[in-house]
Amino acid sequence: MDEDDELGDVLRRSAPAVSEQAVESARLVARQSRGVSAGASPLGRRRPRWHVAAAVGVGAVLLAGAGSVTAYQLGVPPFQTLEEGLGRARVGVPVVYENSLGRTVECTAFIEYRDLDADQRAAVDDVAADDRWQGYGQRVLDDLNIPQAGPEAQNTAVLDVVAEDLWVAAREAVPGLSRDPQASGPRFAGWSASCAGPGGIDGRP
Amino acid sequence: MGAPELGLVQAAIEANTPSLLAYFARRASSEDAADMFGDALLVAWRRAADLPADAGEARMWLFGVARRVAADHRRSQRRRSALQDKLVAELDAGKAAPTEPTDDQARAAIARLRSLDQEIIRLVYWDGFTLAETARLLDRPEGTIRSRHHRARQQLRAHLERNGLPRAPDSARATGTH
Repeated sequence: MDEDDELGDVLRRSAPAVSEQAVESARLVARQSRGVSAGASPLGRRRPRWHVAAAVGVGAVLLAGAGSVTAYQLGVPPFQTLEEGLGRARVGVPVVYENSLGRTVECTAFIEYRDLDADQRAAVDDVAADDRWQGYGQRVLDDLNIPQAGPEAQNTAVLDVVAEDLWVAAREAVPGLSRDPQASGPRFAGWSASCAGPGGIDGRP
Repeated sequence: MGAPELGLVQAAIEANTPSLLAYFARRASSEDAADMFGDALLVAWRRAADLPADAGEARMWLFGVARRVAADHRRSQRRRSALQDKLVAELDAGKAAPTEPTDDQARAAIARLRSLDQEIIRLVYWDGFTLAETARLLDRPEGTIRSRHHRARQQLRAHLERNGLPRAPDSARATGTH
């Protein structure tokens, strides 16, 4: 179209460019969307969701791959200080997978909540301790189908799915649980995770 | 949703990711573009059974989804995945890159057009659609799109020439006749 048209060339050249980095991120988002929609969850197939929560609560902290060993260790749940009113499951969900470098990444993710009574807190601990999480991290990564992505991108993508699955698990444990920060009553306040090992998200050689 | 449908959707999304992302990024803020890109993917997965098998038709279908998503999009404070946040940052970085004065003038000229004409020009020259395809995407008669395209070009030429761009012979040939 308009092969010899100078005006057409001017108009075509004016198209704002999108960087290769942005396209690469978009490809990861696209692959992640399939992982989420196809149901990598150990909780069974679920309705496709896109707007998964990365860290939905005020108190949620992602500590994967922190740079300083000291700061990292101080911040690892469950030792990390929580703000008043925020609770965290005593049992973490294991998220273990082999990354693109062939290294094992061992993360532990914790559900955080507000206004849960003792029975509800116990239920959250129980669901986090469930056998369904065995092999979970690798299943998530495999379903994302991002073998060429770097360790950081893989970790980010995996934990995005984990975020949603923790919400689904918490809601299963505590019927009526809300993720609306303005709601009264039991609320899902977010999640936190730490990835252990000398390599953090790069994993252990 | 069966495995063959999933495979078709995946292939269509992978083939069209750069152009879909560019479509949103050229029409909205980085935040909205990332949100709409995600929304469009969700709709694509949900409606996998409707995806045409032909690659060209699949592209048209995906952009139809994208247009509806863009039309329905409302800004909101929403949760984004960390990867979407990264995408927003990279789109922002790209928009901060210096641009050619000629390109800025052309974009400014396009922005002066009526909204439908702007979209015609963008679909044809930025997204690479023919006039016939543009008519389908905009759900307008092809003749209407051709005449509006012709008139929009005249306005763009006049504006750009007033601003010192070299005079370009307009073949006045409608684009996308193939």
